[in-house]
Amino acid sequence: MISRIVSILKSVKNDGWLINDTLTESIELFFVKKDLDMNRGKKVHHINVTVYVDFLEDGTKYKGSSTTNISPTMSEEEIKDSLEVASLAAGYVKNEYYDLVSPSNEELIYPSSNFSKGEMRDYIPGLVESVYKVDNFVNGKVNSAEFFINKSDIRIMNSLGVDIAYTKFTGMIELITDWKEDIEEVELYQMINFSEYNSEDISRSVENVLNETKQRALAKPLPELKDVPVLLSKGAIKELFDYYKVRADAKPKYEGFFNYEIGANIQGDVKGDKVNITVLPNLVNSTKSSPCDSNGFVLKEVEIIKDGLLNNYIGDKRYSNYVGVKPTGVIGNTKVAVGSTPESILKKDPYLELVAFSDFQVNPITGNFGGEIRLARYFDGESVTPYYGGSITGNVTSIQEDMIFSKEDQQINNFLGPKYVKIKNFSLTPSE
Amino acid sequence: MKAELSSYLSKHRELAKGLVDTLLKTYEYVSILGVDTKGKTYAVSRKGSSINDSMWSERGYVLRVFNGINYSEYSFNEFQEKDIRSIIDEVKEIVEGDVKRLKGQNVKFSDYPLIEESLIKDSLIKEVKVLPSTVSAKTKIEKITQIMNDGLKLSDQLIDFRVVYEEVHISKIFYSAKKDLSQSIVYTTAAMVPIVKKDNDIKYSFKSYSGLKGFELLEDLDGLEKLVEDTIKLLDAERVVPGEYEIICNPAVAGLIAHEAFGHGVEMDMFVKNRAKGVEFLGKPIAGKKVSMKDGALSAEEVGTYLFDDEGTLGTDTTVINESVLESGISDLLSAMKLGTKPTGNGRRESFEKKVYARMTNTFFVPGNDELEDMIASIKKGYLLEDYNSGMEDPKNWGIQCMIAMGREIIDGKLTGKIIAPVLMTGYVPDLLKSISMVSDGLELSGSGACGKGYKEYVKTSTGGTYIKAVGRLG
Repeated sequence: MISRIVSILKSVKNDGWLINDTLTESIELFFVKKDLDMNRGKKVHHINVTVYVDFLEDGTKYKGSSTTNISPTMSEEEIKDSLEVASLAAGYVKNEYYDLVSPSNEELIYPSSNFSKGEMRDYIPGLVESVYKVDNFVNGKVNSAEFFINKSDIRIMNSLGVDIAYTKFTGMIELITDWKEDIEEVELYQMINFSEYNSEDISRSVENVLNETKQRALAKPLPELKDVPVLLSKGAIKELFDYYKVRADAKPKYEGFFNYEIGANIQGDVKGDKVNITVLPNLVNSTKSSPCDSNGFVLKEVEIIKDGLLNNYIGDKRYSNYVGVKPTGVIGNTKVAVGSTPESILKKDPYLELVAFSDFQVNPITGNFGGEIRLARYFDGESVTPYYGGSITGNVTSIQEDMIFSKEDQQINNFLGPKYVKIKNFSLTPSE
Repeated sequence: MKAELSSYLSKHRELAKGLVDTLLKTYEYVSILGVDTKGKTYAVSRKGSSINDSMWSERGYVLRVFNGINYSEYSFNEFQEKDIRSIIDEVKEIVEGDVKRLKGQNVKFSDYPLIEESLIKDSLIKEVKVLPSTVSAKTKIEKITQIMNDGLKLSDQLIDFRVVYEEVHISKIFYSAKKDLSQSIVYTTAAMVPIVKKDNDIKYSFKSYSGLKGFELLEDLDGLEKLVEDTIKLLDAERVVPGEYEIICNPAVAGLIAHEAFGHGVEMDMFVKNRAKGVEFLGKPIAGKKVSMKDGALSAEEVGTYLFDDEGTLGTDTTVINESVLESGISDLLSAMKLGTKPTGNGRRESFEKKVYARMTNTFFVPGNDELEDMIASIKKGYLLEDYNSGMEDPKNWGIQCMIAMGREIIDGKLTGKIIAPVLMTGYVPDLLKSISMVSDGLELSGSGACGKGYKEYVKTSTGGTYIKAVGRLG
């Protein structure tokens, strides 16, 4: 199929092309309680072709592009039509000129996975068992679970000779747990992403969320709490640091959102812990590990924020060209340096630990954050009480100078960073 | 202009039927859904533009087969005469091999009856004024570039004024022993996004448009001045003092409440999992007396409209809430079979590659008779909430989270001109619905976004309503 497309491209007007070819096979199981409700499989072939057309207008050189999906069932005529439509469209896409990615001699860091040691089907029973072997409580259970294992054969080629191929395994378990104590049954949601088969890790995650669901069932409505610091945890921390990644991104700089120079102070007058962020092409058990980005640019580790200062821009070849920085490619994994304060010290004085949200969001452009609280733990200096309801809102610029990071770390798929971030200067709305 | 069914599906229809007929010799129920969706997204910003295939573009098939206990599915997109043998082998591996292996691992199966169908042969070909495929890429990009340039002229504080236009042509066929269905539908969406900056403060907002329309949708884009003016006001917006307030929700926010806060809670696959609080309220008052709510592929003409869903069930017009009483949930076929109810034609897939879930289509509060001016006049201290950035459902415990774009302060029955933003509205759904005391006339639907279930499974839906007055907790 690819050779057919490359051959047809020779007869279509273009000044370059890029092909992203992905063949994915999956096994999918859907459980309601402990019973299998449906099993599915898929084998799908996706080919995306980007056609580039260079043109001059008023003495300025532009590079237009247009991406089209080529279905494997397309006839020769349909493929040619699609590519010609893309070529024509690219001629009206007026983007500042940039260079395509050239072949590189850099060493490729391929994602590894122990799923490659056997057939995908062989791992399904173990994954199912890893969830249900800890589902042994009287008042709570796994309400429903969905299992997905994907194997993707990926090939990226362009007209300059880039040709990179690799295989990637990704897994996902979507889990709903419920629990009933005296009042009403409650539930929590958990999505576990992975690229390694590790049944113990999965069992631990499931057991953990079951225990949190129990706490949610015992929780009371969040009362008004004044002057208590908050400990962010889990996915909220991953969201929080996206604010800094956006400020180190060449694209928003080009678009006029930010204009930081290398060495610029992003975090302000820091009295707490300084932010240090590295992006990495390969992180064990991450579904976002990749030797190159979708343009075929070979990826390497880059330290983007150092001690709260902008250390390096990140960006694909196009936007890096535009703002005059060295391209890094689009890198899928993030590592945030932990702090020096152990969890035991962070939890020594009164705190409100926010464990689960409906959907904690940080707007990386404006810095506004907020979310409805599904489970929080309040320590009043003597005992811990679970609460639910109410919400937290604020802006990153108001909390960033006083953030304290835990010494302990956590990994959430493609994020490795502190287990807790202690913050102040936000707004808490009680439940009632 | 008629949106004809894709020539690819028309040509391959007999091949798909042949595959089903072959599999029916082995399995008691087999159906196939074939999808060929073509679309383009055009986007312009101050620093660049793009024309790419729409994220909804796809071509492929999904087979559903009764495995003797419940149903197995196989999705694929390589399908020619020569592929039939390998497709049948894959189906056999999933329907027989995987099921046998899982049984051997002591996995228990949830059993379903055999799908019983009536004989139906039907098709839907929708029409639009101007088929997008008849207009050149040049005309489209020039049109949205002109809108962008008009917007950029309105203020020096604008760092960008983005315009996006998307056109999607969906063609689907469904075939089983008794059903032979096809549909071809075109919809378009557009959005204008002004972005303003003062010092290091950046704010943006958007205005979106959608409909079962063609290129003519771009003629609807209006109100640039007010949009830019409101976005600039966000730069001086204050945060709300957390608390409970009388609120008026504009149709977009009302739609968000109908969709996120309530709609997800009546998706009946959630009833099967005992994940929906809605079950407890069936036949009981759930909202203020003036509140009625609908959902359905036939309840409105918007992006959630179709003849049949992704299981081959014909779309319906479901009254979910009738004058405060919760009357019905919305259902896919398998959930209805499990619950012993009638499917409402709400079984939808993100794509041919994904499983069916019970999903909303066009969801909205039914208009009432109150006037917006009277609603504002009735508020001592509160806010008129306009537009939203996101929402998240909690069908089990009926908590709500609505990230509202802005609120206009109302004091002693008058808008003061003061703006709050952003606003997080939270609370308990029945409390919010029961607090709805006034409902205006004039239904407005929007289908510019996509709806997820949890954090995945995105489908096109439209939501909306009218202005509603309620009491909400803002933070």
